[in-house]
Amino acid sequence: MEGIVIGQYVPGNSFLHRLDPRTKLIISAALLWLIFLLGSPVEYVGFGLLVIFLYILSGVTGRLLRVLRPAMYLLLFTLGLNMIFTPGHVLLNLGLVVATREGLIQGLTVGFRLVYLISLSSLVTLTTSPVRMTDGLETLMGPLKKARLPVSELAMMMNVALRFIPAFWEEMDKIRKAQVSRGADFDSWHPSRRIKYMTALLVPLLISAFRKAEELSVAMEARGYAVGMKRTSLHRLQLNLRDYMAILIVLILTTAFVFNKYFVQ
Amino acid sequence: MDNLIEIRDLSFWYDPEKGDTPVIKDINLSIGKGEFVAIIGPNGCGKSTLIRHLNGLLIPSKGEVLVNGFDTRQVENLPNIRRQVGMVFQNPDTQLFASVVEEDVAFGVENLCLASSEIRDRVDKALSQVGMCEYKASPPHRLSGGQKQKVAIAGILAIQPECIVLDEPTSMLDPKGKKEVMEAVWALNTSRQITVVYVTHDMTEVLHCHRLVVLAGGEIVFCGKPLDFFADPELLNIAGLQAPPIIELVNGLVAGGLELPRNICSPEELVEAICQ
Repeated sequence: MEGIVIGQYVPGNSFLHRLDPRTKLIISAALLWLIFLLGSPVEYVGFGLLVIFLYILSGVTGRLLRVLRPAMYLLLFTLGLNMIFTPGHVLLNLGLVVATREGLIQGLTVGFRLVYLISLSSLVTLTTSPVRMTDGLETLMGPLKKARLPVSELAMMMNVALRFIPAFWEEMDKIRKAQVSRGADFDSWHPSRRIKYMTALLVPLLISAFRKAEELSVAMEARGYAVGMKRTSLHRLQLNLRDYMAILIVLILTTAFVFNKYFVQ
Repeated sequence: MDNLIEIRDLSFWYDPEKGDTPVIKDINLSIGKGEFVAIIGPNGCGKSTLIRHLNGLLIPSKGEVLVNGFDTRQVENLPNIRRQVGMVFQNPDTQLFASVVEEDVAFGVENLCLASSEIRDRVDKALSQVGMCEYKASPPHRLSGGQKQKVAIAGILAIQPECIVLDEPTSMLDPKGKKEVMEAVWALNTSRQITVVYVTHDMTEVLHCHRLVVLAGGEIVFCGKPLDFFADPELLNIAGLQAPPIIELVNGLVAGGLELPRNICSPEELVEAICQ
């Protein structure tokens, strides 16, 4: 079951691992925005190389394909849809459906954007432990505390949710096997039967989730946690030279790119 | 010996309005500083209910629980009480919630609002006390059951409590994990004088404890030396429990005419006694 969760944290000590989570969040926000400004094929290729470079830099290259695999159907779907429904120069005529060149380009554009979005945001979660990530989000969203938003509690909830995703996969697998051994057929093509068996899977899963939540909350309470309390953190978030450098580099690159694209002509 | 925890006339109902029978009734028990107290009893006898009173997770319906003189019924005492009495639960998977071991150990200390450097010190110390230093950067789900429980214990140790309450910490572990956890707990008690309250189903684990408390039907039916309890067939019957194999063996040998001392509680001691 391990690794089934896309973008689960891989412990390491690379440059990206050591960056402050806030830096990574800011940088990724800038880069994600940049994705939507990409225009020419050269820019797409350049950005792709940057993504690959970042993966190599952080030593999680092996995860790149695994991160993208679940999105494959989505990619094929968007590609197909765009090819068929965008009017333009006909590439392939199959009678009812017509694939166009403009559609192909449009589909590839959307597809590559999706790939970049997924791989970049996964890179952040791959190199940042959830606790540090939520610490980072908490400090970044700190000003919202003034607006009475329970920022720390939200961060804690996110943290716990992330931690329990693998546990739920495991639990679901266990329940599935238990139901199969009692004669359930989850691969049935019959819709009503499928719904019936899905109920047999989801109801126990939900109940076990509530039980786990109960146990967890008792364990947290026993360790002195209370909602609304003030807490400190093991990792003091500190922006180091490398953080400023990274932000600066990305800032310069982004500005140069935008400037070049919209003002120099 | 000073008393750390004082339980007086404690009764507890989960649903007092229904007027059903209490889960535990009229419990009187004091736990001394540095003591190793084991609590045993059949399923549903109220063991877990009892120990959840020790740090105010449950509040007495009747009677009172004092921890170092602090009453658990007063909400403002609870942070202080939970700092003195730590609790380790049965299922290691639902009490570790960070994705890296050291972050999990830090959780309780972070609640104390200490500086990062102090948290770091305490986390490292707690992990080394249970011998889990080398795993501090691993994700908990890659550890074995015994290791997870030791991490859970370290998470409590880092808070530096006077007392650790363990609720069947070994019942989901394999024999090796059981042994590891037991050894870690004993080391804390003997070398650091941490008070231990240990709930278990495994009779061999309680043989060496200072005091054994036996619960049946929500009441204390025995409180004293473990060997005295196992020597009394009537009490064993009332509690619906069985003496550990080694005790049964000694009893069998004595019944068969062999002269043996009564304080044997390990195979090694038995071998030595027979050889003499």
